Amino acid sequence: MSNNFQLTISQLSLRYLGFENLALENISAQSRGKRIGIIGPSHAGKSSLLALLAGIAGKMIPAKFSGSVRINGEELEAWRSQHEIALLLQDPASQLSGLADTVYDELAFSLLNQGKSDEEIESAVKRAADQLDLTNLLDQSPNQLSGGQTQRVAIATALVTEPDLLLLDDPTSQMDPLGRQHFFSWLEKLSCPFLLISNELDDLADLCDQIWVLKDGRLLMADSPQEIFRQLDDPAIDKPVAWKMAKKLKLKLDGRYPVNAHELKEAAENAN
Amino acid sequence: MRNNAEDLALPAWQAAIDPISKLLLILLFTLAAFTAGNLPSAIIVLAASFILALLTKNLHALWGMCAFSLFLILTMLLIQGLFWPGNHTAAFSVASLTFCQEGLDHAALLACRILTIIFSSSFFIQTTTISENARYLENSGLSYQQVYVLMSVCYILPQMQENLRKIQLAQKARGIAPAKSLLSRIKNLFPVLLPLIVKSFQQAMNRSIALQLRGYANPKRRAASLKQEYWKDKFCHRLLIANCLVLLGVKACLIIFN
Amino acid sequence: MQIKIKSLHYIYPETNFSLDIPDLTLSPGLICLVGQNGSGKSTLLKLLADLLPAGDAIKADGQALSEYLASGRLSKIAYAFQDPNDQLFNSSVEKELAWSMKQAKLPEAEIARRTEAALKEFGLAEFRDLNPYDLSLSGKKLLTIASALVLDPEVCLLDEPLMSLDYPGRCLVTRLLKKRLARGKTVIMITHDMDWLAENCQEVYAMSQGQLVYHGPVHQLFSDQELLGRLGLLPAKTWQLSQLIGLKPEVLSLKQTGLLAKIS
Repeated sequence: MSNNFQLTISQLSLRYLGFENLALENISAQSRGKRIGIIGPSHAGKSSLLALLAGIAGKMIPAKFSGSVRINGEELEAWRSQHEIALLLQDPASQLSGLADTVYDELAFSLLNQGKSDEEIESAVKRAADQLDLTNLLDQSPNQLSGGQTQRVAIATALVTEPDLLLLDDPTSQMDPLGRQHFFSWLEKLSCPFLLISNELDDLADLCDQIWVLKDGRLLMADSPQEIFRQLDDPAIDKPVAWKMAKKLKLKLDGRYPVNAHELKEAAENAN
Repeated sequence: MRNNAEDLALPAWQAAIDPISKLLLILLFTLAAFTAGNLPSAIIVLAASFILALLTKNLHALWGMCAFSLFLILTMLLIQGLFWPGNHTAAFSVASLTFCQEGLDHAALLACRILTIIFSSSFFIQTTTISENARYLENSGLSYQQVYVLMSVCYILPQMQENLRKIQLAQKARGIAPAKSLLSRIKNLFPVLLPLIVKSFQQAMNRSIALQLRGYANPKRRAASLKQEYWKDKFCHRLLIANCLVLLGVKACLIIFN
Repeated sequence: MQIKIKSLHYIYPETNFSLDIPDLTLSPGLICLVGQNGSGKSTLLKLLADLLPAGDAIKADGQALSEYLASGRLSKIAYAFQDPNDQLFNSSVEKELAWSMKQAKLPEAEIARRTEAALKEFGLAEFRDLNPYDLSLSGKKLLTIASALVLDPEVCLLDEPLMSLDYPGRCLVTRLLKKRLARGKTVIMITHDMDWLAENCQEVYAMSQGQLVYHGPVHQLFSDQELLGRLGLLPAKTWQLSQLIGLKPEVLSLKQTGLLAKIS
């Protein structure tokens, strides 16, 4: 797993075959840091961007694209052949193979695909299970898990291969509030780079180094959470609750409104 | 097939028979049932398959499997008893309808064959899991993609059943008027069938994408180690296949020399 | 329309999960149901729509629910499911909106008028000829909610209407629900969105393991840490943030935050 991560997108356009409109239009951006949040209204192209990075758009779903995508200086295709990318879909149940007896087998599936030995599999599965609090569920059938447990197993299947890049497409939309909180606290401890599509703006503003704002296939902005919510003024895009509260209470931090809980607290303390 | 290995608390001998042998047993019983040319011999084959099914000690599931075929069997008895071309000896009458012995015998023979297939299949279904079958098939030389296609029926059907249930409820909520005529019954199928097909297709697509992303077509993939030790599996395959060929030979002779 | 539930006991045939509600009266207005996945919220909603049999346990305006819905069902109760893919099947957005009204045997002119109005209200006019399956998930969700609301029912049952909606979609649905509530209609909805709850709902009903464990004001629920933990819920973010910065009493909604700022 690399600690350096530089994603450079240059004039990227994507069109799915059979559709007139471009899913992505002339996107240029450079990542800063390892954690990138992606926000925007529906039809913005967020899922399409992840699909392209994972190799779905263009390979599994017929699409044409132009422009360039580079990771750490290498062309996407070349980088992908030497590195591991894991994508988490919105629906956790379809992430699972359906042929595993136990959660252990389900997690082992990805590693068998890489030709790993039984010993390597055992240590990797135990590590992933430990990270996501699944150790007690390893012997259970994946079909008998609750929604939240299934989601954790789905995440574990992505993690178990120790990916070099993790792509997450709105993984918390079906979770209950507590599940969501656990998910984000787990994500904070993750060391690999990730791109995360989510509507949980407060969590993104807390967690991410950079936020990319997409709308109608175009990139509106790519900057730190603080700058994004300072400059962004689009009725189609919400703002974090912390920002909205700070605005009502007229609490500022360094001349702008706080974007997450920590900053709000700091602004409140400064005000007193 | 079971989904969950925990449900299976099999006696050692049942667990020691490999999945392909269990499938060959179904083939053997089916061929035996079709080779048996008369009712007494068909009943003997049926009895043998019934004993096999009883060994799984799951009468509830066995009854479930038979129950759906009972309607078919009763219909056959009715139609063959009344209309079979070889009918000439009356057996009994109900109202003004006369049921003939030859037709009833023929229907009973067909029923024996159907039930034989059901009972022998029951042994396979009750004593294996999807995962065990997939594992064994892959270790036997099939590629994972081939195994996946074969096994996918096992989880696609329950998934479609679940989807059907949800969709029927959703359309009932939207006010599908109770059907009176055949035409309106057919019209009422459409609001259910279309979402069912689209949703099932979409789930299958998503699963396929997820599996490809997880690398299931990777040439480096190795088969999962077998969890179970099977008793002389290659020998059993050869023995069962040989027996099947003998039965085919017997049937061919019976056809030629009759 | 008033709904009275008395001695409701329902057992799911496959799982033996049981739902038990001894006594509950639902008056017109906004009723929010919260609780963890598997707590029985969807089951209760289906029972209220007579999609699952409740016998005499549920009465609407004094009549057993199934009798009450025997005629003119669609003008009384409409239901929008959580997954829009379970409901959509017509070849265009316009036909999809009109379909339920056709089942309800409304006059053609009325169907045309309501369809036109719904297309405008829900911002779907530019998609009228599009196949519903070509809409985004948010668009599909809007369409299923529109298809329920276009019937103008007395009671609207919505299973997680805000899930899968983007921000403009949420604002739109919130506005349209409020319009209906202002006309005295009832909206019973399941939601996980605690912030929306805090902003829009006075009273909340919380379920756990097939039972109604709380019914009362939202701020009281948020103050009960132990109950929230049992329900697998968290307070709204405004509440959490006001606790963090020491606002007393804790603020439920942004509206309240604004008022508080004015006072101080």
